[in-house]
Order: sequence, then structure tokens, then C-alpha cells
Amino acid sequence: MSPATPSPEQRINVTQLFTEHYDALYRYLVRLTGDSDLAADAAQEAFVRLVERPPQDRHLRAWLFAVATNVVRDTARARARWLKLLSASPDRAPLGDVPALPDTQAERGERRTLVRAALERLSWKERTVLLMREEGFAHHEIAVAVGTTTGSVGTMLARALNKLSNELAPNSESLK
Amino acid sequence: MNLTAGSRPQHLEDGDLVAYMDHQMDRSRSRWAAGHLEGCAECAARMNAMQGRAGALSAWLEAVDEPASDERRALAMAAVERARFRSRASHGWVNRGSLAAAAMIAMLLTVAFGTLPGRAWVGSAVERLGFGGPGERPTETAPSAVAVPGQPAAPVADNVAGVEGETAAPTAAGRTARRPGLPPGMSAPVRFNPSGNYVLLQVDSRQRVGAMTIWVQNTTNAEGQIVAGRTGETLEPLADGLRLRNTGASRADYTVTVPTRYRYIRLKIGDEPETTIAVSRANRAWLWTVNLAASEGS
Repeated sequence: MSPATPSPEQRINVTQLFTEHYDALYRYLVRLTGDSDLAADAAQEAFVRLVERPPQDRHLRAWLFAVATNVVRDTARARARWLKLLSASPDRAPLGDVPALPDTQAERGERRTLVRAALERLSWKERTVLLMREEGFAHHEIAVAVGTTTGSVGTMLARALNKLSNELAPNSESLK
Repeated sequence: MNLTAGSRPQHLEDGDLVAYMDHQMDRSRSRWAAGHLEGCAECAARMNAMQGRAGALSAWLEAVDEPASDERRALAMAAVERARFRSRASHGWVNRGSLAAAAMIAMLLTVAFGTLPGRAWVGSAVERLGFGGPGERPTETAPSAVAVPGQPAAPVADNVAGVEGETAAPTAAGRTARRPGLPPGMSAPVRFNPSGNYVLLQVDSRQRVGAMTIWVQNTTNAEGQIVAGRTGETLEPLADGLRLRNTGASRADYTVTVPTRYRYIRLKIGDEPETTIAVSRANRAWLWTVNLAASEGS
């Protein structure tokens, strides 16, 4: 008698996957949304779904990123936050007096604002493909996550890279 | 790629440059693109520019990064553990529901035919459903596995996976010593009942991977279970808690439920110094995840 094939739930070591991928998933989602609370919610939801509805898919890392991306895109809460983010000025000033920042910190804050604003000007798909590429995903995995063909991912990536470069070029010698 | 049959290859498109740069072209296309780049200064320059742009953007993107805090990580892990508990519980009810349906059918058959095997099967199924007493859960509590304070605890029965359909003999307590099969890698829950105001959780050693989730809740019974990855690990009730017999090669995950009536939990892993976790009576349901992996500490 052949040994019983373990179910997906038995095959997946969630603790190990969490240890290995949570930080990268959270980083990707912060870059994607610009909202650390939303990023944390979506990352958590992806791992909860992994427990509740474990996939047959063996590419669990790509599955986690795709699910988290969909969570961010689809939930009503996410939409509300997106609207808030899009309507807000990219250089939203904090309420009250601005604390005096050391030069390096101010520089870092300025850089962050520039990149955030540039990312916001990309379309959802452009941002997703670009940021998934940054996390080292293959084009076929990116294609599944954004619902397109593998062949068109290169074109989307090129467009996103060029667009983001053009946005940041005025502030970067290496991008001019 | 601008390549049509019978024509000379045109320049590479931007999408092709990215696919080539990311090593995402199949072998023949990649070979063709490499050949073209060698002979076409314009495409080679565009390729260099694209590579430079991609590298510079990677550095720029780090500006918006925010590392995940320990608190966020812990909250997410706790949510995952809660999902595991829910998942376990729902699977338990599925099994129980299936058995209930099967028992009902068998009862009808027995009433219809009055056969002795039918009656025996129904009796067994009803016992497995845990109808021996009000509000009981189908938990493994073989008398030999329960430690009596002041006396050495007897070892717990081994994994009962793979005994589906087997009719076990009722114990003196009128309950079955074995229950229908559990999934591979999971053990039957083991109850323990320390009489003091603390619970001792004694783990033989750190292991390769895996975690123990301690769930403190307003419940009656203290209980432990191996929920995944079991390869010979056992849980042994002690007079004042529970012993987890594992090895350095273990990869299992464990859950332990501790009632809020205890004041604190003493956690001892191998030869490491003991850790004490205070139990808050105000917080009626909370989780504490202990990473058992040797390389990462608790």
C-alpha cells in the first residue's frame, strides 16, 4: 500500500513560511500601498488564508504575494484608504509644529516623499509588476499575480521602469 | 520582438530588453537576443541604460521601506495561530458531523433489521461522538495517561492515526481509549490537571523548526496537542503540567490550552533557564507563541 499523500494543510509548514517570508511580504506591501497599517493587515490576511484555504500550488511565496496584492486591491477598506491616499498631497505635512530634523533625516524624509509620489503616479499594474520584480519573482509568477500573460510582463515592466525613472530623474544623476 | 518571417531582425523592444536582463527568455530567444546585442550598438546602449535605470531604482525604492516591528509580526503570528485553532476545531466538527450522519443511518438499519453487528456499531459510533456525558468533547483521555499528583505519570498512548472504523473496547470510564483516525502528523489532545496555581510546560529540547502556541482562555481543562509535523514526539501529563518529548530533529507544532484559573505558566526548554509567563485574569483569551527552533530562541 502506498503511503497516503499529505493534504496541503499537512504539507505546509506555516510557521516556517511566516519566518521566511513575512518581512519581505510586508516590505513589498508597504512599497505598494504607502500605508504600513494596510500592509500589515494584508500580510496577515494572506497568511491566515494560507491556513484556512491552503493552496495546491507549490509556489507558496508567489501565492502569498498574489493573495496579499488582491487583498489590498479588493477590500473595501483598502479602497477607502487608497482614495484617501490619492486625494492627499504627497507631501502631507504633519499637524502641529514640525520638529527640527537633522540634515540626514530631513534628506531621507524628502527622498521618501519623492519616491512615494512617483510610485503613486504609476498604475496599479505597473506598480505591482515593478515591485514584484524587485522581490525577485519570475515573469510567469508576476503574470499570475496581475492576471496577464508572461509575454506581456516584460513590456509592462519596461514601461514601469521608464515611467518611474522619468519621475525621479530630476532628482537623480544616475537616472538622467 | 520586432521579428517577422523573411525579414531582417529589427531592434529589440524595451520589453525584450527587460526579459533578457531578467533571464526570462527561453533559450532560443535568449541566444538570438544575445547575438543581436553583440552586433547592434544602439540596442546594446539601450540595454546598458535599462540595466542602470533598474539598479538605480532599486536603491531609490529603499527610501520608502519600513521594517516590520516585532509587535506587528507578533500580532500577525497570533492571528495565524487563531486561524489554526479555528481550522482544527472546524475539522473536528466535520468529523463529528460525518460520524453523526453515519450513526443515524446505521441506527435506522439496526431498527430495520435488528442485527447484532448493527447495534454494536451504533453503540461504538455514539461513544466516539462523545455522548457519554453532557458537553463533552471527543478528547482522548485514557485514564492511564492522566497523571495523579505525587505519582509518576504514565506515558501517553501513541498516535491514533489510521484507526478509522476500528471498534475499540470501552475503558472502565465507559469511553473509548482510541478515537477515529487523526490526520498524519497530528496527535490526540492530552488533558492534564495541575492542582497548584501554576502550569509547568517542560520541553525536552529545542528542535529544528516549529512552535508551541500557548492559548490562555476561560475554560475548564488544560490540554495539549501536537497539531502538525509529528514524527514520534509525545505529550506526557505531569503532576504539575505537561512534558513535551521531542528531539533536536523534530519539526512539529504544538498547542497548549491553559485555563485562566492558573496564575502563571512556567516554561522550561531543555537546559535553558526557566521562563515564567504571568496569566492575566482580565484578559480572557490570548495567545503566546514560543518559537522552538534551535537557531532563533523563544
